[in-house]
Amino acid sequence: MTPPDTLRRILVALDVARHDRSWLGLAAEFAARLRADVRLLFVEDLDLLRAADLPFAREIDLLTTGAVAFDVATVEARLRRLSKAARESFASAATQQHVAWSLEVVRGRLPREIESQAQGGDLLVFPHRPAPRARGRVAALCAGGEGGHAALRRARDLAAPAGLDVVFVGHAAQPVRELQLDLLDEGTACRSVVLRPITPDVTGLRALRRDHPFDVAVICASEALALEPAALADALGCPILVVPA
Amino acid sequence: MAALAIAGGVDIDDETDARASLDRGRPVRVVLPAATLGAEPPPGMTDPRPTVPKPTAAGLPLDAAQVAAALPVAALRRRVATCALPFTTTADLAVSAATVGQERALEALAFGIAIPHDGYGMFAVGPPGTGRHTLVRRRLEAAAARQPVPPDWCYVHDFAAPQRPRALRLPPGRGAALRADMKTLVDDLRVALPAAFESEEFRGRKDAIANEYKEKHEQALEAIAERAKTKSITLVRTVGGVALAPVRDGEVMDRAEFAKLPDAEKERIQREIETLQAEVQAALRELPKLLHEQRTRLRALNREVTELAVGHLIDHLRQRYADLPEVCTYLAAVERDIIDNAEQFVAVEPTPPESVADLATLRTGVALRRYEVNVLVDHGKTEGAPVIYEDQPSYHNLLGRIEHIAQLGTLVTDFTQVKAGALHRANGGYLILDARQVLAQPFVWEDLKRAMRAHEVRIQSLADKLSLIATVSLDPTPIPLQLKVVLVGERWLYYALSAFDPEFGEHFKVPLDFDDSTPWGDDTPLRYARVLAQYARQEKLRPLDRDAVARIVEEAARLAGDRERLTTHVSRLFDLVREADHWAGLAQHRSVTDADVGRAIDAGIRRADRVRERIYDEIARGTLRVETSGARVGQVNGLSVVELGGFRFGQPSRITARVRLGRGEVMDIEREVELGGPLHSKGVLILGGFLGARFAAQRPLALSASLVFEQSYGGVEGDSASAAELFALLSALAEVPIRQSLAVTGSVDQHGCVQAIGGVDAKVEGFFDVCAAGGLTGEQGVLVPAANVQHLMLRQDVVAACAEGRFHVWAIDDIDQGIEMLTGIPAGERGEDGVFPQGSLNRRVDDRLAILAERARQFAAESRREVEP
Repeated sequence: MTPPDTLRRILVALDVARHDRSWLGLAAEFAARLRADVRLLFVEDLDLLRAADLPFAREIDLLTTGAVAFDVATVEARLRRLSKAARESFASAATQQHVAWSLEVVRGRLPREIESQAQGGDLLVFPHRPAPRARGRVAALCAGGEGGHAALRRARDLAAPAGLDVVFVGHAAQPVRELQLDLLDEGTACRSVVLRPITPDVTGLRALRRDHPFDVAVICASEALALEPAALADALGCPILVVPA
Repeated sequence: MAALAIAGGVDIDDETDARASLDRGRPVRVVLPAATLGAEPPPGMTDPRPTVPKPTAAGLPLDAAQVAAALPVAALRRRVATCALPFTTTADLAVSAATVGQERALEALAFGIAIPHDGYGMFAVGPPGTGRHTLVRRRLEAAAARQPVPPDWCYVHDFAAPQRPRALRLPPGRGAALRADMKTLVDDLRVALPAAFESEEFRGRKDAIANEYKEKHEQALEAIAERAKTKSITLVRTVGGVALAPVRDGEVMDRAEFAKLPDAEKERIQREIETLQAEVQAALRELPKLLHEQRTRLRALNREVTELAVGHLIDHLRQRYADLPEVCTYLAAVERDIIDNAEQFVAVEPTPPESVADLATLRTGVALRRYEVNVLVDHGKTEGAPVIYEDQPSYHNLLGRIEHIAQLGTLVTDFTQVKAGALHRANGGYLILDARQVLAQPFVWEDLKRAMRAHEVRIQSLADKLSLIATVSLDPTPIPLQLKVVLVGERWLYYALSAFDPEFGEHFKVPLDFDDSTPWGDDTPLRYARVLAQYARQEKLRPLDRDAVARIVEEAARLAGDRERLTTHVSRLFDLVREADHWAGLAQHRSVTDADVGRAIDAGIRRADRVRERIYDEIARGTLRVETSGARVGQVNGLSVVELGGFRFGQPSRITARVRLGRGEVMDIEREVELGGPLHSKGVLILGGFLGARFAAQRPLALSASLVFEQSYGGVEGDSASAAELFALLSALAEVPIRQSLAVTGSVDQHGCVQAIGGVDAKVEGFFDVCAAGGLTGEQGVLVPAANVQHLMLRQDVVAACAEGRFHVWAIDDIDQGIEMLTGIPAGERGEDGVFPQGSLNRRVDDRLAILAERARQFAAESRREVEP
């Protein structure tokens, strides 16, 4: 089955806090499965560079907890090494999966860069923490209304060709049964449906991920849960697909 | 013809030599009439000349009495009575495990098997081919069949001491069952544990634990970040950690902006940052504790899941082995180890490693090997106690070994590489070993005794034992040992061990003495027939007819060298049966016949007698000079036995003697040139004793004699030619010729009694063959000791020739009988006057010695006069 043309590409956003290599392999796997291109966007954090430029700049090492002086040159060198490592790592995964890809290194702030580069239909991947194991599920986060239905359809379209299940997640205010029925009326090839109302905040999302792990989350931009994509992805622990309103 | 006796060692027997000495100008001190034919004897001496028979061209013909004195044909070879073999062929005989002889050994074997006490190991003593292995093994197997099957022994991993594999004792057959059960357990766990760890429930709980602690950590940092935010400071993530920086409008100030701040503000910010920095460090220091706590909880979760998956599988095994406490203890240890190391099952891919990329799989496979069971000894299919014969008792073959396998260029080992030795396999039963092999292998003898003494078998590599390598190796727990060891070896080994190893008697108290022959009784041929029948059936050979069996039994007597005993070297008889069967096949006989046996015997001789044939050929051609006709003074045909590669034959040799004036010594030329052995020299020295006692009791023995085996170029040993040597000496002294158509064998004592010798058949047959080559004259024959008549089992052709009067065998008891036969004149006995009868040979010898004594006396007197003018 040909994937829907609305899935444009997989945008992998990388910075000093989000560069776990396991995600790169996952992104390549998704791209191969969804026949999408991959774009790696490595953001050299401007705030980090500014902090390093301050006269009293100190870096607290996470392993040793020691505070050591650091400067811009050191930070830039480390960032270059990071981006190089990400490129090499992904190149290996992409070659195996026969995936087309590109890498862009920009200096800025990741949320802003994502907003400027992300387009509707992009599957956003934020390599935050180790990548989750594949669960074979796509979660549709819906607040109801037209946008919710759009997210549901996208989740269904994403899941069906890849042989994944769909998790419908509705707001507490929205009767999820109604959403399910709507989808069933349209006919779905999904193998199972799980309904769960959630509280649409970070805590609720984390609880959702813990209890019903999924591989991809689909959410409508108009119904975004007041969280920027990076924070949303961090909270969910998976790639997210933002569906245009 | 004048004969001269010349002092100074010139031979008085040889006129030519004497003349030659005179021609060389040597002074002649004493000139006496020589006691030779035609010379006048000195006053008072007898003249033996009229009594000496005149030799003809053919020698000294035998008279009728002499011919009649030859042994009857019946005495030359014993025949098997037809009535002793009541069958047509051996196919008529019932199948039985018959034995021949060895009653003493078998009684001892029964005793050794029955006595339960320590130290009663057995040593089968005897020559090879006497059925030591076969009989011992057959009797042991019969006894073992009535004894209980010993337990299985397994080695398993000791989880507390991995270098010291633990030995498990299980009832017969259950070792293999335990091995299979443990393999099934591991296979089940390879499925069950990954399934448990892959379950949604487990993953959820695991992720929850991981996230919980991650979030705790994040929350701690976020809390600091929140506090910092109130002070216009933000937490920035760096590549390896975090940094704190002042913010304005949600963005980190750059250096220029910061520089524009009032100094007080700068100082405040820096103080705040330092304070927050300390808080961050404190929060980070909590991280290891959190991680430790996380690991503990994850481990507990793993244990919980593993226990759930493993518990019922192990419980199942516990129930199966509830009657074996040791196994239950082991299973408990397995359960604990699996729970502690459950992750090894999760990582396993049950495929064999094919490349370096599979290292992880390899490692895991090695790790899981510790749950295997190494069944060292499996008696699942054993009936009765084991009887093991280890034909190559090297150190490791006997005591077990620890093998190694190559992994990535290194040699590694574990308890699965412990291999059983013969001691393990025979434990609870019987172990048969070749004593010579045991002693030939380094360290085997000492460690065998140690194992028997300690009642345990300890597996240790030779390298460890000798401290050749210092690497850590295995030290398997010893296995209790309870068995009987039977050594099989030659007599000299048994006696040597008894003499030189003080511990030998402690462990091998029961000798199984296998005789190499057995008395030929009335029922013995039938017992041999049963053994041969059994062998023919076993080897799928043709049955043997009665005459063939009789011929083989007679051959057994020949091999025993005794007409009253049969050899117990059954292997040689079996060889003969096989070969006879071969010839029977070629002759298209349905059963093996007497002729087939004869052909087998002849063919065996033909294959081995190249040297004999050459020697006899050289005798016929005259290269080796042996006379079989005529008469000679001082020369007699002696007989010796040559043994080459298991084939023995008689070889006639000329023994010559020369005498002269001397000091009573009989010189053995063989000894002088170190070709004579001590027994031969002893025999020659006895001759001097005989001569002195018989002829020189009242006067000096003024004789110097030399004896030699003519044309003998090798060593001579044994005293069987001493009688012949004495005959030659007496002939030389009496100057009486000896019949060259006769040969002599026998040893002699100082009283002149002829004593038994060995190899009498070969000797008689040897002379017969040489005579036959030139044509038997009816005058030829051999003088053998009367004591050897009971040993005669001559070849059929020799017996036939004797029956036809073409050859003879005489038995002699003493020297006088022999010399009369050889010379044709009476020996003579001393009369009451102390003088031998006129014309007797002894008289001639006595007179000759008297002449020599007188000459010696005169020579001594003249010498004194010359010294005292």
